[in-house]
Amino acid sequence: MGRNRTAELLQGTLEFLVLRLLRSQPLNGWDMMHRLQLVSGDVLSVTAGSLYPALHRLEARGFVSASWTTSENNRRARLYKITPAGRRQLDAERQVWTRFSTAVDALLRDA
Amino acid sequence: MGPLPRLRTRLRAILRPSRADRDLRDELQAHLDRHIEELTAGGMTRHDAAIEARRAFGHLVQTEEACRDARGIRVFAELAQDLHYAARMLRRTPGLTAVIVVTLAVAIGASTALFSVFDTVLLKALPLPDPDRLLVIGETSPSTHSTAVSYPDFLDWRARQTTFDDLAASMIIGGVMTGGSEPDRVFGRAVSRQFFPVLGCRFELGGGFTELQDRPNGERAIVLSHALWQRRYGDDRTVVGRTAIYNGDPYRIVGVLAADFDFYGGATANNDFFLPLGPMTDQPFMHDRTSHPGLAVLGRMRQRITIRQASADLGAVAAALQQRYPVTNANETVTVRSLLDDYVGDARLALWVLLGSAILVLTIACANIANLLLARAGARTREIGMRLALGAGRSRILRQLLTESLLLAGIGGAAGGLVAWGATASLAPLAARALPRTADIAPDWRILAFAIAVTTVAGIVFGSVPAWQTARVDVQPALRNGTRTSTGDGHRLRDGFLVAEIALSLALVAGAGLLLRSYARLLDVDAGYDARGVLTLRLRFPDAAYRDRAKIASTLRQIRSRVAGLPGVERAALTTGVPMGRSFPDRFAIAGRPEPDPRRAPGALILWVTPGYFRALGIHLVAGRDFADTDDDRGALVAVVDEAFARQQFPGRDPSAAIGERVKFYDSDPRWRQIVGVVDHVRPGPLEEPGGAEAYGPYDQLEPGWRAEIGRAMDMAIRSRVAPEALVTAIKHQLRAVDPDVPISNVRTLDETVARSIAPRRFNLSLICGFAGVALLLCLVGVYGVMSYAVNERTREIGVRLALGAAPRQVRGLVLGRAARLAALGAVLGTIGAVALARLMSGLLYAIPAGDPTTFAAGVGLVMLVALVASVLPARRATRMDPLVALRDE
Repeated sequence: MGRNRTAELLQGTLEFLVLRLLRSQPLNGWDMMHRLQLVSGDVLSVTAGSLYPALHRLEARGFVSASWTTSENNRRARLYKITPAGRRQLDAERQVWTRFSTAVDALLRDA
Repeated sequence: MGPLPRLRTRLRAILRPSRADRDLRDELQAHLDRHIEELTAGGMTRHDAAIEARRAFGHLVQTEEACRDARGIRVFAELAQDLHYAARMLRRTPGLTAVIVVTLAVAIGASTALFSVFDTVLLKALPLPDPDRLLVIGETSPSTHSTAVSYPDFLDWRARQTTFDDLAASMIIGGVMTGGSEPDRVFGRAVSRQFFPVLGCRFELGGGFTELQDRPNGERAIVLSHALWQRRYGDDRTVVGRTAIYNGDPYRIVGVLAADFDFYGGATANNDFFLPLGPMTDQPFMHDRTSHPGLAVLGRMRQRITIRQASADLGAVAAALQQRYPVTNANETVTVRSLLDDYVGDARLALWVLLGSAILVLTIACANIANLLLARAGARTREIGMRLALGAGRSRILRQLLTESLLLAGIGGAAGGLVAWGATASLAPLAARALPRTADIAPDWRILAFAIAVTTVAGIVFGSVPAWQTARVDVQPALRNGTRTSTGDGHRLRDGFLVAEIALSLALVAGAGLLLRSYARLLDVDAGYDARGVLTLRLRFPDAAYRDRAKIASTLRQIRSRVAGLPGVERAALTTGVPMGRSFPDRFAIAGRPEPDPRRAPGALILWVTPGYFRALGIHLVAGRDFADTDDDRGALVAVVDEAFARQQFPGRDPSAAIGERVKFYDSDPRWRQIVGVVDHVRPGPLEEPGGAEAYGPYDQLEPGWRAEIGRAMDMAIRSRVAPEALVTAIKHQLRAVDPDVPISNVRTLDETVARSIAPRRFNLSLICGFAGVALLLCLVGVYGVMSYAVNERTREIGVRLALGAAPRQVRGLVLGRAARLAALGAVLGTIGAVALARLMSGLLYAIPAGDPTTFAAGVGLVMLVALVASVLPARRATRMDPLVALRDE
């Protein structure tokens, strides 16, 4: 049970981060993976095995949309964009996250 | 096409990748390609890069599945896969599959067939608009058991109620319809004009009655049933406005009912014809609130009124009437029930018990199947362990196993549908004799829904525990040990199912036993007459042709002597009512005692008979003498009473003490007559009901006016030396010779009448015995299966015991002892269940207490016996085991 909950938490966090990234620009899976590793300074090790299911879950819930594109060097890739619903979700989650992290921060400082 | 591409196409066909699936694979492939590209750009060989990219990616197939899961599309693809796999598994074990499917087919088929009867009787709406708003309203007082209503009370209710659209009254009447080729004995109802509108029934032609017809001296109008119209007028659509002759008088036909008319049954249930009630309301007895012909009152509640509200409303009206008419209406209360409830009556309880029994059988079947699957779970440990090791999730395996059991259930359900089809067809004629509303049992959506629901639930019930047990295996020991890894848990589960199965079977067996004993007790009842070889029939003289009183008596005498003279006829007698037919309650007084108030006088059923009646019916004369031909107008007035009468009126004395006493009957002939004989008590109606005091008087000594009136409808009882059925033609021939316009009806043997009266019991009994039989059979199979499995599993242990010198008897004891322990536990639990079931069905029992210890003990004995018989073979196999072979096993 404990392990499951951790996984859920991470999953939720990952989706949150994906939405945050897509807010700036549309990305494909590969680029997104590297951007995440870059931004988090390798603290979050994101694997393809967790990223792609997260993307598909977001798509199924209507927070992102995807379409096939062909890049300048003729490479096909599936490009993800954030939808208006995704933006709203991101805002909501950001608020939750801020409150949560403030609370944890405060606790940690006091302790 | 080479073998490899062919395999690939086949695989693709099986998996049928959807567009989304292809997209997903392309997307992940693009990711890999990108990585490979970057790695080769960094100097790696293409081969190493491919390997490295795959390594970095992680589990490709798992990711794919996770993505499909995330999108929710996986379920369908997997379902197809699961079904495919499940079908293969079932094909691999055809024996097991066949056993399960047959068990399910029988259990689902039986419950569905029974449900189709249940549905037809209790759930199907009456063919009337908003039938739920129709109520039957009766009045009961402590003195009368009937719920019949007096006409003035009906009028008051109708005027004062506030919760009904309207109330209508009806009364059963009967007579003769002439004017065609054959006279017709018809039964119908006199109804107030609100009757048809309240019912809301449809007409084939014309309509109901108007106010001009429904009043004293109103126009003579008649409504015909569809069947009578067809029989007498052959579908003639111009019949409205024409004249029908009923009891010799002309009536104008104003309507013909639609074919689907159903009021307590079709045309045969006193619905041949309808007359307006109004013309009969000028007779004084219609205005008597105490002694009245008895009306049935029907009401249609207003929209959005509940039965409770309607009942409270009428209760208040009845209370007001009590105040206003304290003498006649004291203690009279109103009873209200829905038309459907009143219509189906006792059938409701019986059908619930039967449906419950069918579902018990289905539950037992499920327990049996669960055990079979649990046994197989042991055998599949290795397969499941392998799949778990290869990365399948436990939930995925669970789903796979449940799919298997649902597929099994589906096949069993489909086969059960066929069984239900056949069973319903053979059940229908039995049901038609035993239950109301069963004239045609047609499948409808409720029956289909029931079958599907039962099948699904059964699949989940018998599949979930084995699936859970199977999917629970630990990977490593499963792979190491192979098949023999079922745990102690498996034992306990199997034993648990077996105990449950035995317990449920015991409950059913005990229930069946109680019904069986009730039935036997009922057959043992001494009804007071000997039904064998007796033919009964009813004569009805058309009123107009027999206005002359003397003509009726003389015609009756003629008929009687002609029939008595037929070869094969031992005795023929006339009576005002044969057993289970009409009965006339009367009140009496005994001479030499203070004269009672006629209203409070003791009651007895009185029959007016011709000499020979007692011998025709085989009613034993206890003391005194039978009626003789000399007991007529010229002779002294006499009567015969029964033992119950004698005991009640002359308690503590021999029944013959009644002889010589004088008695008079207020209602039929209030003249003193001397008791000359005492006969055995006769059960007048259903065999269950003992009935009270009875008396007989000579028909030829009735006051002439009343004699003619009563004589219009007389029953004849004929004891024959030959098969009674063989006489029917000859008797009809004699009657036609006397008067072709006198119809005879109700021609049947008394045996048949008795059989009809116990047909509902027979129906319940044969069904529940069938269920109990199936339950025992399932138990037999179940115990055998579990014991065989236990012996197999303990092969090694038994081998060791035998090798160490254990006697075969000890080994046999080992197996039988276990079976006995389980059966005993099941018997204890089952007895509790049986007590509960018996209490529920106590309304169906006769002369047997619901907690009858003998029946329960016999049930326990039977179930234990079955358990032991079923374990004999496995036990014998255990003793015959070759220790060497047994020890090498593993």
